[in-house]
Amino acid sequence: MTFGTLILRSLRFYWRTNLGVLLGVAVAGAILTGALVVGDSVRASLRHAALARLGQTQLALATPDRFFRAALADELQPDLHAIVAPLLLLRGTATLPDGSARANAAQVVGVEERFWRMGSTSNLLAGAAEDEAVINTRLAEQLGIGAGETLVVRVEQPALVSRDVPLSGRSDLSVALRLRVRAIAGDADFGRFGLRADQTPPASLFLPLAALQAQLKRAGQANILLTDATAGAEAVLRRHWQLADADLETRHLQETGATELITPQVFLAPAIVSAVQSLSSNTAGVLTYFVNELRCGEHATPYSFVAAAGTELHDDEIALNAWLAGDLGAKVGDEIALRYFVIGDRRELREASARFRVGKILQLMRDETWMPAFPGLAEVHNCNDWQPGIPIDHGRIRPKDEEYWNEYRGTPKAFVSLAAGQKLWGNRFGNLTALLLPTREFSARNLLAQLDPAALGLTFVPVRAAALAASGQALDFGQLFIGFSFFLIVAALLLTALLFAFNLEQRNAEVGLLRALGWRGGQIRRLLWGEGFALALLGTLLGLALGAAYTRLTLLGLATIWRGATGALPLGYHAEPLTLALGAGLNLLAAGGALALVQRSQTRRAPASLLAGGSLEDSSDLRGSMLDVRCSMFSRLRQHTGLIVGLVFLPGAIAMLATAGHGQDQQAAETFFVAGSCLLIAGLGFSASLLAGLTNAARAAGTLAGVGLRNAARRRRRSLTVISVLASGVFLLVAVSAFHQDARPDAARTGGTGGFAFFAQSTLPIYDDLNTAAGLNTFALASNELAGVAFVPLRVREGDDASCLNLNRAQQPRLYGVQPELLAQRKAFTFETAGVAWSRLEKVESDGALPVVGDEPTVTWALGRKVGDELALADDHGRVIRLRIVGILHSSVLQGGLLLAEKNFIAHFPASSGYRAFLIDVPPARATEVAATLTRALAQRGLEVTPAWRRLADFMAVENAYLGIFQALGGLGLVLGSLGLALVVLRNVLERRGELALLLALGFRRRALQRMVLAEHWLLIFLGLALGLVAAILAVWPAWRAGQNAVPWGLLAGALGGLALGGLLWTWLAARAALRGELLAALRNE
Amino acid sequence: MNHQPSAINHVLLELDHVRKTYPAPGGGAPVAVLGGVSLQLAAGEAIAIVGPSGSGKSTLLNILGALDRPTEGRALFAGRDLGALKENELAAVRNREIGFVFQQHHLLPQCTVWENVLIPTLTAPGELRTSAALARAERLLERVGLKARLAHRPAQLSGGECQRVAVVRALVNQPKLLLADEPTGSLDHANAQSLGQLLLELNREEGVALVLVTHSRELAARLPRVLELRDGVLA
Repeated sequence: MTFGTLILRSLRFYWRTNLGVLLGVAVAGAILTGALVVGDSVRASLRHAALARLGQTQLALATPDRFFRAALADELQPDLHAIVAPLLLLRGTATLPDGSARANAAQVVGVEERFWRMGSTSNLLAGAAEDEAVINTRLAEQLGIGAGETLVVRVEQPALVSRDVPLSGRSDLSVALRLRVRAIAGDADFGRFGLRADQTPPASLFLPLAALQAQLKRAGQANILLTDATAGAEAVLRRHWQLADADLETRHLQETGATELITPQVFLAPAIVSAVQSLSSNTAGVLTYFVNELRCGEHATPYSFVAAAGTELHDDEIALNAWLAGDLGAKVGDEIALRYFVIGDRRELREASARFRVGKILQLMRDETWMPAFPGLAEVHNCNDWQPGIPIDHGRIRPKDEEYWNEYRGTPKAFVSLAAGQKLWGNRFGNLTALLLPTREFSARNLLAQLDPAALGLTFVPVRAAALAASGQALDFGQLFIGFSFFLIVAALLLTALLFAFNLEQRNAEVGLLRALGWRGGQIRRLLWGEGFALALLGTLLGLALGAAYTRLTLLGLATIWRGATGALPLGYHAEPLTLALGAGLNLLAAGGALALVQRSQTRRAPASLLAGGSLEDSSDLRGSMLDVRCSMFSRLRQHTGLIVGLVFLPGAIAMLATAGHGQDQQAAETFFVAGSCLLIAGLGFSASLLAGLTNAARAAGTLAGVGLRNAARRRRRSLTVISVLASGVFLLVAVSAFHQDARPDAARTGGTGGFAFFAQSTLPIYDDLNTAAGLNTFALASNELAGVAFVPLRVREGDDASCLNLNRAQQPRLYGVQPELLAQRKAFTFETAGVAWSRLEKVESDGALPVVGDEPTVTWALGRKVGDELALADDHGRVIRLRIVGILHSSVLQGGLLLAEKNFIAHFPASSGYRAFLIDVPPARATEVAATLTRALAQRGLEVTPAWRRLADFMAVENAYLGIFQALGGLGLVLGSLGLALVVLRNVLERRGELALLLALGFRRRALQRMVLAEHWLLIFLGLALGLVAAILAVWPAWRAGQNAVPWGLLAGALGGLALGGLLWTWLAARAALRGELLAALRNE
Repeated sequence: MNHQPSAINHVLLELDHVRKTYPAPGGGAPVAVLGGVSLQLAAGEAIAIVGPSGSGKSTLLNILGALDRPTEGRALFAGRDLGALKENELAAVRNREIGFVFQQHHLLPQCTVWENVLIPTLTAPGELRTSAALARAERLLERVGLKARLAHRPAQLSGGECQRVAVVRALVNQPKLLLADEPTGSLDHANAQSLGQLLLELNREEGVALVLVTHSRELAARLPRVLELRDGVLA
């Protein structure tokens, strides 16, 4: 005979009650472990999705607005001993030929065989014709098409020159491709390919690289390299890259023996100029510009090239060639006026002028090498074909101008000093169009050695590591579900503790006997704890198995009814052994702790009292009579604990309500929630006090119902547990509704929509100012069509979606460049951070950090940051810049990205040209009409106009989905709670069968006894429900009063009504069961 | 009144003006159960305590058995003041030096006869649960005629048999004092006679002092010394 034997014997003998305890522990364990495994599963699914979109890719060199030789991939491969796949990736729109379906923001990818190898799949484009493409499942679903069908894809014709550059040519050039769908690429076919950390795959279309190159007139070029090499790519790139990869060209100038360095991008980037100047001290810069007019008095020459070079001329002097001097009738000393266009933000053209004095007349010699490759000028033969991206009045072009063009092409007609030219025409893209240096001092290899590829945006980014970090640091659904399931877990543990307590109460005499036989308190506790632990252990093991089912059920919920919480992420079951161990350990701790608490109070009782039998709360002498005498004062104090708790928390609740004011903001809602919680605690305290008062009532119970109420007070702890579970459950279920958010059209500037009617996003950038007639005219829109409509354009630097729609932790968030004054004028949106205004974005921090703001879900939840935190990322010049969060906005339509001042945006991200997002003010009466007009007119740019409130609603849907989960699981907790109530009722009446039999013997009718039992338990139900409801209504009061939050009153009323009816039914059934049959036999058994 | 033992030189148990009161519900005047009891019991002596219901017999027995403490006065066991001992020390006294037999046998229903008998021995560390204790348990069970029922559970025994198992359990640790609280109260006459006889025989054979609380004048009369408790005072 040992302790172990005794434990085993007890477990076996009391198997019925032990089974209840075991199941209770198992349920708690299943929920706890299941919730944690939900976290594992979501994490693993995100990881799986991340790896599915990257295949074997470790590093990616991605330069969306810059192109390099696709052959670079072939050259890097041998040195890296890895696959290097060249890609041409562009944004585009995909439509059905009849226009009946459209997918904006599609990803158009030119690929070759190595791409499919990177995805470890077969080449779906092997042997494909030029007009054949593979589309991924998402695009197929969006368009509703399958293999063999046709679609039309429109992509922007990649510009040689940034569209924001002056004289960059036409801004609306796009290429339409009519393609036949060859196959649909699923997840296993690398169809999820994408470089952004987003669980939703882009809508993608894959076509042969060569075909796309040909269509875009980018033969042999790519803008992305993928490799499965893990390191060393930067060094290998430096060894192999060529001038063409830096978009540089050289020309040997025979006459001067110099080498000229130029770029198809027209302006040489400052990094390139610095590198060249470090090669030779004999460099000479040239800046050639296209001017609208050169005038001398009455005579004017239209549309001419003027070059700025050297220092021979004074800064106010101009040298004219003989042709121009003749045309203008100018001589040395005359004043020449120049008119030319400069380009502002949103490609706003401003005509500027300058005056020079003729310093020299030069001999005319044809030399078109002075002319940079301005698109729309350099390649055309006839002046009438000029399309330089500025308004050209062809009527002004004279025959002699045509002849000059035919004979001398872009030979400059005039020259100014380099300094004077740079002052007039220098811009953020550069202030030189060519650099000359002695050929003997020039070496392409030396120049490339001086240049850092990163400075031109050619950087290999560890996309796989970033993807794994994004999924690894993603929102922890495990913790989230533990929070959601908290009430359920507590309810299960309370139920378990209740069952265990009943079990132990049955064995009071046994404990008493052991104490009488000389067992020390510690030994008895060890024995009972051993039993409890064994049950907790077995229950936990069973819980692990049930947990798998719970997780699968939850994942099913997340894939269906709670889909809003996880978006399009395909969820699969995954459990880490460590998580299972953690879940089991926590459950063992929680259940073991609950059982230990129960048995602790059991072993404290005097042995004589235990031997006499009765429940834990039957006698007041919990510790033996003498101790009670000694501690009577303490005992009395303990009886008043409930009253003290109530008196402390009630004024607390009242004080909070008094200070909460009448605000309708989140803070006020939180204050009301806390006040409600205080009221709940106070109510529970008063309930305890009421029950204690009923116990101690000196006045005899005058009615049978009064006797019933006295009985409720007799097992005070048991009764209080029931009240607490019901009240807390009702409170949580209802009060959480206060956080339910409901978006609806809202013109308030301070709200989440900023008072804007629409939030629009375009697939292809829009360069023109839609607030001007000229800008509208670009899209064949008349001003009167959009009368009263105003746009706040936003530049967009693509990045990870940092909204609640993306479960990954955004590593490189999307950036919006905004003109702060446009939002400040409108007083749009509300800052949570005190003392911060939009103008704060204009001020660059003293240490060089750029100020940014974002809304609360973006900063706090998606990025896990706070005010003052910084994010480091590389700008388009390859420099690491620091973005400092200086303010947080209330939840808004701007969720998903960080906002910085446009001027800072332009300085660091020149490659992200144009505008791709718009906040739009529209007269309310014309909202539908304006949306339709914009969508139609800008269809080719892929403009998608969304009502701002609906965008907000999409974000809120995620939070509401979380609340829905919480309420659903809370409801389940209440079901468990009501099961506990049933157990208590059954236990109470069965324990008192003898007592009830006695009353029957004394002549009471069964119906009267039933009334007594019902009165007793209905009091508990009433107290629990009323308390929870009053506290909860207080908590949701601001939301209810404001009428803003869609509190699901109907659902809640149904749930609470069901609970109340269920509780009443349980008690009625229990009372009926107890009073049925030969009740008097119980008396004989006594 | 002081009740002297027959062998004054070997006083095992002594009560010295023991009073016991309980607090009244609602804070009224405390209820006195024992009103100053003094008693001496020699080692190996057997006494019966009789008295009407509510006279405080069980309370007195609880104090004698270190299950309860006096409100006033002293209870000395083998010269040690029980009131001064800590809970664990009292438990050790109950375990090693006192045996209890209750009106209900209080056998553990989940254990066999053999296991029930050995329950008191489990408090000692494993190495101290000697084979002597096992041998003694076996001998006592044989002595009470239950050797053939070792593997039986309480539910498979008669009331008298259960009570005999309870007696063996009380004696297994070789106590100096055996306290029996209405041990025959729930038995029929024949079984009550038999159990009374057994207790007396064991008192003699094992040299264990016996305090028997009973309603039964007939059983009390078989003991050498009978005390009556009336209104909380021994007469």
